[in-house]
Amino acid sequence: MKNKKEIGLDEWRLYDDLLHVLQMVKIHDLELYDVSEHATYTSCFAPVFQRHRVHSCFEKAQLVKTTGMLGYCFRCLAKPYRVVGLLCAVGVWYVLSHMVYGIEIKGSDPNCTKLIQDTLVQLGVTTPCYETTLQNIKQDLKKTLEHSIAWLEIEKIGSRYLISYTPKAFASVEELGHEELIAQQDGVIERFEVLHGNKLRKVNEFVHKGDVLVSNVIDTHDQTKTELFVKGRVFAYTWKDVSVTMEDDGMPKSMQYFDMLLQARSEISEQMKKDDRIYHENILQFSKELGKIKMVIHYTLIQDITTP
Amino acid sequence: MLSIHSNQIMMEHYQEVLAVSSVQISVRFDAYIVLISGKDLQILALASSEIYLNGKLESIEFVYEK
Repeated sequence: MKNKKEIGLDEWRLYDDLLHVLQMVKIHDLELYDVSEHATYTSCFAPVFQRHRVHSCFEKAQLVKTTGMLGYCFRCLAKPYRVVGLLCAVGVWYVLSHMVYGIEIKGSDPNCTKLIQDTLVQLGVTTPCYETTLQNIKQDLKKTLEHSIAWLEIEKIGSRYLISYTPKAFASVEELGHEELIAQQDGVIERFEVLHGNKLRKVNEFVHKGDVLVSNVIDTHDQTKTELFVKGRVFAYTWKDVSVTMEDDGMPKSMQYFDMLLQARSEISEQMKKDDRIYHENILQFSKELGKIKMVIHYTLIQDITTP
Repeated sequence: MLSIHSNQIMMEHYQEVLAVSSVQISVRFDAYIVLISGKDLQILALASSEIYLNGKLESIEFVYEK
């Protein structure tokens, strides 16, 4: 039986003698606090929810005030403009809580992400907007992007939509050809990366430009020739000299050296294709003549000599 | 059941309050009547089965009815 005046109790004046009040409490299962007898009335506090029962038990009951937080709320709500303000606040809160201020798209393919963004704009789903049925957006997106997206899910997190998707993956079918692999330059074969075809040369064999390295024809045991698909690359050691010059700008010799070395590497890398690499680098000349510095570097490369 | 602590009494499962004043309160229980005497006796809380009193307690008397 904790006194709940801070939360809120009704203060009553009951125009009955104290003993009668106490007996009524027992009969009608009431709950009273701070009961005290005065000259003409009995004062007490009762929970707000018993207001109706107190009125029905005591004909001459007078409600003096309501204490605590409940009393404050009742007094606030007694003024119409405060009720209107409260209703407005609830309305604004309700509307704002149903607004969507952002759309986040999670997926692995940037093209699909862009496609979903564009489709949402076409469907009229642009932020900020009032939330709509997610199922409808999901169906519209799936219908529009059925060729691009395998799985799509939309959920509302706070005040934003989170769209997760998985793009459709298509297996790329590569058509094989019958073109022979022919050396595009001189070199010594370092390795073969051949999936299909008939190898005509061996590793460490010197080949010239124009030599057929992998053929599209193979001799079978019955002396007939069978045409093969050809696919692959042949890597070979090749050699190149790179010559770079620069004005003597008075910088320390080591700085000039490295500057020219980087310049030469940049030049040689422009001539390299995918998976090519520098095997060896040999400085042939580093000299200064008539105010100009000259560097000649001999490079041994491992290059794909079959790709034009 | 009576619980007494620092001039406060909690009585549970009472049947009826027989008399109330600032110097004496009598309450009927199943088998006896409790007479509480004191000064400035006040009912702090009251429910259908509990009474919580406060005041300067002087005596508590149990009267068994024949």
